[in-house]
Amino acid sequence: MHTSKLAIYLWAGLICGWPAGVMSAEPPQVAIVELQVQPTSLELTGASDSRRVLVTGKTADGRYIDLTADAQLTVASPVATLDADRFVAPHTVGDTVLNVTYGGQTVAVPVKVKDVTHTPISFVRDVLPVLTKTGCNQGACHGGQQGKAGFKLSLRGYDPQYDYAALTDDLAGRRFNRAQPEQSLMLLKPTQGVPHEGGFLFDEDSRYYQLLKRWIAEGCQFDTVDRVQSLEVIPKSLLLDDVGQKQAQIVIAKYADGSTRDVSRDVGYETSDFEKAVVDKAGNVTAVRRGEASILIRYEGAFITNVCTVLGKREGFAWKDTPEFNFVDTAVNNKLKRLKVLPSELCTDAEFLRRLKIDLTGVPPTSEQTRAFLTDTRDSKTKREAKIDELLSGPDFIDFWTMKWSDLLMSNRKFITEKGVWSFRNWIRNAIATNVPYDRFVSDLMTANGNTFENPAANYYRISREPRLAMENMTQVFIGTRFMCNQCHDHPFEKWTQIQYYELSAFFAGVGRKPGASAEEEVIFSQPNAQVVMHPKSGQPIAAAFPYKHAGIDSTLTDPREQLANWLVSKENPYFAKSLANRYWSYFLGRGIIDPVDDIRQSNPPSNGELLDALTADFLAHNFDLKHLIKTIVSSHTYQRSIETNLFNQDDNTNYSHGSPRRLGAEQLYDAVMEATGSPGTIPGVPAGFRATQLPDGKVDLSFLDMFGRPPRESPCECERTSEVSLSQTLNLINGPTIGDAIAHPQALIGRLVAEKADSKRLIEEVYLSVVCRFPTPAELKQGEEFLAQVPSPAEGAQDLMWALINSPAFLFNR
Amino acid sequence: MFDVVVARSTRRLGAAVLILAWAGITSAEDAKPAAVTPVSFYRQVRPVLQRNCSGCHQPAKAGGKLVLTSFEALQHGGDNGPGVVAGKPAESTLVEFISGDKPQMPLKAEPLKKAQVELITRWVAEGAKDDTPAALQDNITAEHPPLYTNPPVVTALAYSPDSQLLAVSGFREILVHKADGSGLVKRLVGRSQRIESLEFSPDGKILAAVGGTPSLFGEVQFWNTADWTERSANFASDVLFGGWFSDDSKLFACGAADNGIRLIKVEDLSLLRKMDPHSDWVLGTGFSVDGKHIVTVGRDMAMKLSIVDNGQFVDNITSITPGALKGGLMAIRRHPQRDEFLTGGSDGEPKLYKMIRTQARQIGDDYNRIRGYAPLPGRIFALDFNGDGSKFVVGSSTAMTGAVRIYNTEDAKLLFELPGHSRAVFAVDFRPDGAQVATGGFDGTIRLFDANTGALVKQFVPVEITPAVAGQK
Repeated sequence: MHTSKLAIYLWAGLICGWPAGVMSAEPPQVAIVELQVQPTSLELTGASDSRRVLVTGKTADGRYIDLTADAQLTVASPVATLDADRFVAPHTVGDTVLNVTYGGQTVAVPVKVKDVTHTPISFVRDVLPVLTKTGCNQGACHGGQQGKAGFKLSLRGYDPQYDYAALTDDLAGRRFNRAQPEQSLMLLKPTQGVPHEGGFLFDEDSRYYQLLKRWIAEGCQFDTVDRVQSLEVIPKSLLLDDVGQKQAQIVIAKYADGSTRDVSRDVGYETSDFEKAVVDKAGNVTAVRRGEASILIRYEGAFITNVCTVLGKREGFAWKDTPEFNFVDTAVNNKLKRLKVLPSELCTDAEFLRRLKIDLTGVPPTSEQTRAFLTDTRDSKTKREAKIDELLSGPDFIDFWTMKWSDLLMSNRKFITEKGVWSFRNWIRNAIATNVPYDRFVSDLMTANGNTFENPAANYYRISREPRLAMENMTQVFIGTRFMCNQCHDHPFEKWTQIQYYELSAFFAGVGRKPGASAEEEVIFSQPNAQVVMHPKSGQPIAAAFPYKHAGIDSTLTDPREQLANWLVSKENPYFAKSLANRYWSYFLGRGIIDPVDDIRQSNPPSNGELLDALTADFLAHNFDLKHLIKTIVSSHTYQRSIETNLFNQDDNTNYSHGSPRRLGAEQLYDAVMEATGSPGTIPGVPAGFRATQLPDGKVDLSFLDMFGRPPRESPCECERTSEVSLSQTLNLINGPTIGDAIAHPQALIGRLVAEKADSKRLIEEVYLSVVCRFPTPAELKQGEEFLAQVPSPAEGAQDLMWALINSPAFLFNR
Repeated sequence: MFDVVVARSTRRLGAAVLILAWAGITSAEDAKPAAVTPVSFYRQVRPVLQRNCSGCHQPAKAGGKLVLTSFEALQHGGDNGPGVVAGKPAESTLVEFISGDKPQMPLKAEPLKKAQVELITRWVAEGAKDDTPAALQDNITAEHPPLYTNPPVVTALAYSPDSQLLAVSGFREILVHKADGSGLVKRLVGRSQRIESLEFSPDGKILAAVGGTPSLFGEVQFWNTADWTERSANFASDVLFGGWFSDDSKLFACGAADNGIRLIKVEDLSLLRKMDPHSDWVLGTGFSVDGKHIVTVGRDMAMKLSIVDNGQFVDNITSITPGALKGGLMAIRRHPQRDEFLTGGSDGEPKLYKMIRTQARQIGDDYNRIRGYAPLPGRIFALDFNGDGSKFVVGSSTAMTGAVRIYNTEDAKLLFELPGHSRAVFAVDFRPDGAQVATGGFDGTIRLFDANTGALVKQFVPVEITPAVAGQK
C-alpha cells in the first residue's frame, strides 16, 4: 500500500473508530463442526440503522450453541463499524463484509450500506423507546398514577402527546434547554449530573444520551409518525439443552411504511417464569431449570412472546407409543414428544368413574354405582364411553353446570333479589338441560330485554348496571380478556388501548331500566343514550366501536346490543369460541391451556397452541355444542391418565402428561361428605336432601362452603373460587361437626349397616366403596378386620375408619 | 456550590483519572508507593458521591440531614456528625458508612466498589482537601456572556413602569431591550440558568428576577435599574417562581418547589418569613393593595390567602369542593386598584376572584369567584392587567400550539385573539401605558402587539444566534 493512502486509512480509522471494529473474543472452548450466522446479509439504511447478527455453532453431537457473544467479528472495510454492543453500524455508503469467526471457522456476511444520512430524531419512534427502556415511565417511577416528584409520564409511553407536554411544556419548558442541550434537566437527571432519586441510568457517552441530546438540539419537535406495527423475533422459539446455556435474540420492529429496525437492545424483556429461564436487558436468555418459560418482548405498545423450552438432561428417554383416543391426544402427545416427556398410563376404572362423576355432576359415585361399573364385564373403553353418555344426559349434570354458570354470571340475590336468583337459575338450568348452543346462550344474554320474571336472561343487566361494568364482565367471561386493565391507560401487556375500553362500553349505553310491577322485578329495555359513556380525556360522549373486527359482521343491525352480540358470538371472533374451549378444558384438566383462563393476552401464550386450536375448531365445527366439547375432552386418553408419574413426566405440570389431583370444590366436598356417609344432609332454607351444588346462590348460610372457597359471586373472575388448603379447613375436617355429625347420623350408612348386623368384611368394603369409590385391597381388608376386632363396638370402629378415609387425599381430591 | 457547566466538561477526564488511580492502588503494594498521587476531591471523589449518594443526600431531600452535593455540605455533615474529619478516616462517618462487608450505605443498592471506598478513605487520610479549581467554577460571566446556537425558550417578560424597557428571560441572563424592540440595552448575566419570573418594583428602582437552576438552587436577583448592579441570594434548593413586589416596594414574595412561600425584605434581600400553606409547588404570588395579605397559587390547584405579618393561613379563596378544581393554577395577577385576583391554569379558563370572603362558607360554594372568561385552548401560563385594570392579556399552551387573547375585565368580552402563536406561550406582559402587549414562549420569539387593534407590531429574537461551531460544547 502506498504510504499516503495508508495515512488516510489510519486517519479514517481514528476518526470513525475503525479498525477498532475488530473485537476480540474469548478463546474458543467448544469444538464446532459448523458455524451459522443470522441474518445471512445486512442492509443498512440511514445513520442510525445498526444491526446485530446471531452466531450459532453446531457441535459434533448435533447440538446448537449460541456463540453471539463469543465469536470474533471483523468488518472488512470502513464502510461499516462495530459499536460497543457489537452491532454493525453504517459509516459510508458502499458494500463490505462482516467476517464472523469462531473455532477456526469463518462465515462472511455481506453488508450493504445504502444510506448514511441523519434523519431528524422522532419523538415517537426514537425518544419514547428510550424513556421506556431506561425505566423512566415505568409504574414505580414517573409512569405511576401520580408520577414522581412532580414529573409524570404516561405508563410505558402509551400517550405520546401527554409525554411531549410533560417534557416540553410543563413549568414552561423546565425539563429541556434548547440553548444548551447538555444543560437540559432531562439529561442531567438520568446521568446524575444533578441529584436524581431514580439514580444513575446512563452516561454521556451512551447512545441514549446522544439521541436525547440531538432531539433537544433539533428543537424538541413532535411528530406524528406511525408507531411500530409488529415485532419479529429471531430465533422464533428457543430450545436450550442444558441448564446455564445462553441464547441471544434479535428483535426487528416493522413499520407501516415497510421499513424495519433492529431494536434488540431497545425492547423490554420479561420472563414468565424465572425458575425456568431468565433474560437480561440485552435479551440474552439463560436456562435455569427444565421446563418452559415465555419471554415477553415489549416495544412501544407492540408485544411478542418467544417460548423458551429448557430440555435439560434426558438420558435414557425413548418415546413409547400410547393410545390416542381422539385428536386431543395427538396434539398433546406431539408436544410431549418435542419436550421428551413420557405420558402416564391410563387410570383404573375405579379412578375413572370417580373422576368423571365428580367433574360432570359434582358428586362422587355411590357404592352401588361403583360396584356396578367395576363388575361390568364389557371392555374398559366401551363402558367408559357409555358412562360418559349416561352422565351427560342425567339430572345431576344439569344442577352442577347450572351452578358453574351461575357463578360466572354472578347470580346473587344482592343484585337481583332472592326471587330473581331462582328465576335466573331456572333460565340457566333450562339452557343446560336442552344443551342450547353456546353462541345462542350468550346472544340471548347480551340482547335480553323485558321483565326479569318473564325473561330471566335480562337479569344480566340488573347485575351489570353500568355500561363499563357490563363491558368488563362481558369481556372477562366471554372472550377471556381483562379489559379493566385499560380503563386508566393502555393495557400494559396487550394491544388494547384506553379508548377501546370506552368504545366497547358504549355498546351498553342504551340499556334502559325501569321498575317492574313488584319490587323484586325490573324491566330492561333498549333506549338510546339511557346512559352516556364519556371519553376519558375530552369529556365528550364516545361512539361505540369494536376493539377488533372480523369477517361475518352484520352491518344491517341497528340496536347496539344486537350489533355487539352479532360481533361477539361470531364463529369468526378469534376469542369467543377459543376462550370457552380453554375454560372448559381447565375444568377437567385443572389448568387452562392458557392460564388463567380469563386472562388471554399475547403475553400469556397457550402452553399448547395446536391443542387449543384443534379444540376450538372442533367446537366450532359442532356449532358451539357444549356437551360435545365436554365429551371430546373426557373421552381422551389425556383426561383419563393416571396421576402416577414416571421418571420422564414427574416434573411436568403444564403439558397434561399425567392426571393432576384437584381439591374438591366447596360444594363438591359438602355433597361428597353427604354421599359418602349416606347422611341426609340438611341445608337451612332449602328442602331436605337439597345438595350444595343445587343452591341458588352464596347467600344460603353454610359456613362450611365459605371455608372451602365458595365464590361470593361479586366478580366474573374464575379466581373467585379458591381451592387452596388451609389449617382451618384441616381442623374442620378432623374435628368439625359437618363430618362428625354426618358419619354418626343414625340414618347414615354405618348406622344402617350395623342395624343390618353386617359383618366386618362388608362394613369395610362398603366404607371403602362409599368414601374412596373402590374396593379395599386385600391388605386393607385384613388391616381393617384386625382393627375392627380390637375395638369394643363395630359401629364405632367403622365410624373411625370412615373418618380416617374422609381425611385422606383419596377423598378430598379428585384424582 | 459546583457549577454544572464545568462539571459536564471535565467529568469524563475525571473518570479517566479515576481509572488510572485505581490502577495505581492495585499495583501500589508491589510497586513504588511514592508514585501514588494525592486523590482529587473534584475529579475522583465528587463523581462517586454524585452518582451513588446524591439521589438521597441532596438539598431537596437530605436523608439523615446529610447533603453530599458539595464539599461544604459534606464537611458540615448530618445527624451522625461531620461527614469527614481531615486526616482521620476512622473518625469520619462517610468512611464508616460505606466500609465493611455489609456497609450501611448506599441504602438498597450495591455497595461501592472496593477501589472506590479505598479512594475516599485515602482522600480523607490525605487531609480531605477541596481541590475544586477556582477558575473552573464558572465559565459564563458578564465579560463572557452566553452564546446561543438556538433561541432560548422565553419564560418571563416585564415592562418597566415608565414603559421604556422590556426585560426578557434568557439562559443565565436577562436581556433588557428597548420597549419598542428597537435594540438591546443591557445583558444582565447571573447564575440562574432559568429565569421564571421578571418584575420591576413599582418605584422602578429594581428589576427582580426569580429562578435558579433546576434541582440545584433557587435564586432571587435584584438588579438596580440605575446602574445595573446586582444583589442576589439563594432561597431554595430548586428554582423559585412567581415574584411580586408589595405596592410600597418594600416587600418581595415568590413561590418555591418545596411548596413554600418566601417573603423577602427588599432593603437587604433577607428572608423575612417562610410560609407553607400549599401542598405542592407554589407558582405565583400577589400582595393585597395595603400589603397586609398575600395571595398565592400553585400546582395543588388552590388559591390561598395568608397574613403577611405573622404568616398565618386565612382561607382558600377558590372553592374547596372536591372535583371543583382541575389541575394546577400557574398564573396570578392582582387588579391594579382592587383586591381582586385574576388566575389561570390547567383548565384554560381565566377567573377573577375577590380576596376577602364576606359570607360564611357553605359546602360546595365558590363564593369569592367574581366571573370567569371564555377558556383558552390548553393551559394558561401567564396573564397581566393593563394599567387601570380595565383589560387583561392572557397566554396559553396546548404543548403543540399557543394562544393569546385580550379580554375586557368587567364584561368579559373577548377583544382580540392575537395571531401568530403557533407554539406554546409562556409569558405575556401588558405595557403600563396600555398601548402594547408583549408575548413570548416555546419558539423563543418576542411578539409586540398594538393593544388597541390586536395587530402585530413587531417580532424579534431577543438574543444573537451564533452558528454552531464544530467541537464546541
